Amino acid sequence: MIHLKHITLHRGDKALLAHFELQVAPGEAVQLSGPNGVGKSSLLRVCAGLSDDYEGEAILPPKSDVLYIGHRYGLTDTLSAVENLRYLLALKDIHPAESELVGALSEFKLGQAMFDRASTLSEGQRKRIALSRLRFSREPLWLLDEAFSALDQGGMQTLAEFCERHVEAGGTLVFTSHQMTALTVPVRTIALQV
Amino acid sequence: MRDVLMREWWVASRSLGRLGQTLLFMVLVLVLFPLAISPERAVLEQVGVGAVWIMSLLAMLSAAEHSIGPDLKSGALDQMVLSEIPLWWQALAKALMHWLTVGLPIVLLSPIMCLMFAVEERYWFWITAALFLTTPILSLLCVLGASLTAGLNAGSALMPVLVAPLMLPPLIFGTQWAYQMGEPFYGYVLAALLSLTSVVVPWVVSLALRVAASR
Repeated sequence: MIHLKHITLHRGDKALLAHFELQVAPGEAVQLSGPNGVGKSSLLRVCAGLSDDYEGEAILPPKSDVLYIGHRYGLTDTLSAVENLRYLLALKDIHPAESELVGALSEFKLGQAMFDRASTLSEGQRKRIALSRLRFSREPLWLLDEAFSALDQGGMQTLAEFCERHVEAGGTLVFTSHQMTALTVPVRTIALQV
Repeated sequence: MRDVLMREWWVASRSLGRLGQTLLFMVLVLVLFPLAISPERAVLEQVGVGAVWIMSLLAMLSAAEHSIGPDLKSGALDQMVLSEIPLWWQALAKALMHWLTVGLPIVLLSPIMCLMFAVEERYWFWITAALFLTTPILSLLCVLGASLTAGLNAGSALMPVLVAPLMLPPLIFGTQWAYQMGEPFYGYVLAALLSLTSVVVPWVVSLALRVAASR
């Protein structure tokens, strides 16, 4: 699914990762862990095909196969949760009915807040909006950046269930996290070091 | 594609306060003009058309920053790049909404501005018509500037410098078309400029957005 060969990442003049190797097979769940600033997010952006600011070779799936949710969720402040979700899905050419959108947001316990502008919502609520799109995903590769942070216990549980179902159905998952995340499917943890 | 268009429309139209500010600023400057130069009819008639044009151009430039910057900051740009919908089409949607929310109001306001500058009535129609053809070109160029400078520290200062030279042809031919009261040659040139920019600019913007997202 993903093959990174001798990848070197830079931030300014400083090398973040040197000659990094990563191979992710279809149907695998991989956690990238490590301290802040080690380059987890940058690496995930490389995997998403969003960044070409690296040395080495990266063999990546086409962008239509990739679902990327970054630490910036891509929400539009002036739109409501429902409108945001509809737009993010439309970008992937998925057009669910209004009731399905509301259903997906309810699954992440957005409640009445789903009709408020995204700018008025809390960080955790905003994250829930971004994650609600997982339910509609047709992409075989999920790249989730710090997906489990800012969520409460219930939110983490819902997200974990989505991830497990995705992997059980043959999907591939790469996520970053610096805490141990309990999933019922086998997870390969790769610890990045400075 | 319709959902994308709707989103761009909502983004543009739900910040009407900021938009009102832009237009208000423009009208304010136009009101100050006669007071600062001279209220005499002969002088005003001479500078009127030019002043209307320059203020339109500045108003459009100042509104342009908001078409790309917020998307870069919020991470929406990442999703746009990873989208199934071609980026050039999304860029075109942005330019269209910029025109609908800034360009079109300027076109509609132009008779009032002509009145304020005591421009002879026979010019009014042609000024409005010329603005109607010129403002879409300017909107496209504004989105181009915004995409090229998105994410740069000095972006907002750099953008006008970058885009202003490109705005000279529509400025020159637009004002000439109005002054010459619809001389076909200038009209054709404007139409040609509009066709050219509407094909080339979205494509360049799509490249620039990809670079902006990867930084």
